[in-house]
Amino acid sequence: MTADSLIGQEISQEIKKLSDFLPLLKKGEELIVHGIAVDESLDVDRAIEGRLLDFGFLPGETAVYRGRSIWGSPIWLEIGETKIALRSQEVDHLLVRRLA
Amino acid sequence: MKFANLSRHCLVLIGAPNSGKTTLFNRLTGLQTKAVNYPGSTVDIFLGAFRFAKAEDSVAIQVIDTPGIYSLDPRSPDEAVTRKLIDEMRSRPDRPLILVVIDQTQIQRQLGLVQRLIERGERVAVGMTMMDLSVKDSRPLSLDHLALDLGVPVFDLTQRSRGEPIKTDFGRLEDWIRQESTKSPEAPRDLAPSNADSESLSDDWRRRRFLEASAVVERARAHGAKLAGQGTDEVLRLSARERTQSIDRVLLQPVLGPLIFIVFMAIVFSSVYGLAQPFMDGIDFALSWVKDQTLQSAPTSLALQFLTEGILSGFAAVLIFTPQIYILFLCINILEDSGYLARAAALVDRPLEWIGLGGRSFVPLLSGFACAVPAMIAARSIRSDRERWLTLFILPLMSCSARLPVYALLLGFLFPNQPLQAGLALTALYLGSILVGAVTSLFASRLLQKSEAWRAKTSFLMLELPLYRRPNLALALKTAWYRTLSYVQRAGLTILLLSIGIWCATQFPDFRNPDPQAKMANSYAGRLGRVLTPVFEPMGGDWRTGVSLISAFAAREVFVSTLAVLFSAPTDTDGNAEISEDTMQGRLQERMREATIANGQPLFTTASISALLIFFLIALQCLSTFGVAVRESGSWAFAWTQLLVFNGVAYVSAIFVFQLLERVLTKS
Repeated sequence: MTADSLIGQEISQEIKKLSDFLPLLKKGEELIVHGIAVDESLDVDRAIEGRLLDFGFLPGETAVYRGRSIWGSPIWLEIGETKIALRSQEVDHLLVRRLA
Repeated sequence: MKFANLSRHCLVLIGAPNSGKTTLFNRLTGLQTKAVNYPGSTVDIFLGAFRFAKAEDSVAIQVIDTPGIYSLDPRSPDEAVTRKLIDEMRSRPDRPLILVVIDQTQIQRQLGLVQRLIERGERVAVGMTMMDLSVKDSRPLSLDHLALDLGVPVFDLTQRSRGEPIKTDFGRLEDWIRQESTKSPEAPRDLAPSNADSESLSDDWRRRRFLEASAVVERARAHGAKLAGQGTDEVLRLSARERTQSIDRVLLQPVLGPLIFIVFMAIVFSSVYGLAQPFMDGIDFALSWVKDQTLQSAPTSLALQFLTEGILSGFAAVLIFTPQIYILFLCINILEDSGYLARAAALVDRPLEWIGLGGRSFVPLLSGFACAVPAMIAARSIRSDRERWLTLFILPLMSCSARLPVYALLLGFLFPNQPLQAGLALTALYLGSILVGAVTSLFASRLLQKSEAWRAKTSFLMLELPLYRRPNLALALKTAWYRTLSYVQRAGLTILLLSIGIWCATQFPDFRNPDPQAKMANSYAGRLGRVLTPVFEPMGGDWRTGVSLISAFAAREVFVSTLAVLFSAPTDTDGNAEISEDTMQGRLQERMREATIANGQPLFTTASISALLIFFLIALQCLSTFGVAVRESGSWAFAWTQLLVFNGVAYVSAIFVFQLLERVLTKS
């Protein structure tokens, strides 16, 4: 689902890091990717951003939350047709909105 | 391109990890392949000859399998090699054909790579895999439309099960290769500076590219939907995606998931030891038979002894573990092909992260329980430099199968006719190796954390969890065979040469002496053992223990055969140790019980045997591992640090255990 196809649906205007939403999320809940928060001066952040973009975490894309491991990290997320395991520090860089 | 042995016509396979590239490579080459190091790196690429279906096709096409990449922007040494290879091959007069392998279930994300290569003017085609997972899809992908849109050929190259009614495009791929290899390629396009350097690609460009790919896929699906509406034959079956979600509800369930993981690992682990044992016994029997026949074929001479004890024993040291390595690789292949391995890595990521490692370290560490040599090679897939370094560092601490004969002998000595206690002690040793590895990794990662350069090294997981599918057993068997052969080729020569070296050290200069004990005592190894006696005494040993420990540097299990020679445990008429059978081991244990030191006290006691067990648990004695560590880390300092630290800690720990137990047991 892209941004265009969301027109008409109610979207929470609150944009937060995915990690902030995590305690509230239910399995199967859809999230709209807003962007990737990085400190451009840090190589680590830039590398994480690059990899997130490789996986298709682009503004407007829909990610589906699929749960997490017993340790809390990694979490399972679907983006497009790809299921991905993301560590907490990676989750920390993803800016998302929840579908209300 | 710097490979002298590359033929004129090449087909390079590139694609994302898990796209089915290697499966396709094996299919195209029939597994007649060899691994070569990419110049200036430790990364392997695989070469094989394309097998044309029709015999009259005489054009020799070399197929190159490259490490998986997501884009042309390298983020790991493996990915950098693929990018370099493509760049270097552009300068050849006959630019290679590039087949980009795409998992159709991930096409949106993987198509960007094709678009980038087309822009560069490469000779590209697309090989689509996993088309059998395209299920009862109301909008199936139209490959013809996709090819039209991209302007390059697109082939369905899915490896289907026997009897699958849908036809693949392997024949069309052959036609394309035949046509293209006879054409003179156009000169590559000059790239605009902004595109020439991958590092300069902007995020906007990347976003645009992703959206373009999405549009291409959308059009191909729309066309497919139109065709499907006109009555395309569709098989009604459960969607692979839905099936994956159902399985994941169990296998990734927070509590059940880790428990199932433990069961799977227990099955893998017991298979590596249980299933391999009859084959190991078979190899042992066959080599012993060859040795006996050789000895009986001619009068005893130094040359004959060299052949049987130096060379044949060296071969035995190489071959004896191949069943375990084969079964381990087979299990890994099956788990990987089924889609579970990525999930296993994700499940253990957090506990491994606590000690500075990551989920990708899991497979190398698991392999380390069979042999550290292939495990170190497997560590190349770890993308984070820090995690790879730490994994390589602690790998020799995993209790490899070469330690088993030593443990069996020493535990049999400690617990005679008490299999339960011996079994529990063996379990404790394995758990101990995991614990020591974890503590070492934790300590080393804390040290690295203090260095700014290492702190800045990226460490992330971001692991794709592929759809579950039924593993192709035939291919898994073949691939495991190939990987095992690769291990024999890599480690075999080193182990053989070291075995010969150790044999020479234990035979010369008194090689004519008919008494094997006296010969050993006067040998260079024996002399060194005597010189080092003060070193071994604090851990409860004498020169004989010292010689055995020194000889164990060829291969750990040589410790047992050296002890057998030194204590003239079961030997044949020529003094050759025969200790493979349980009864022989029992006799060696008896001799060890009778052995005394100068003051008449027994040499082997509970304290000294425990000290030896601790020494073997920690020490890095395998010189093949040392050699591979140098190559994989690219640093002699790394391998020397490993050798000195582990052997130093092993030695101090052995002294501590011996002195402690000696005092406690004497008092009681």
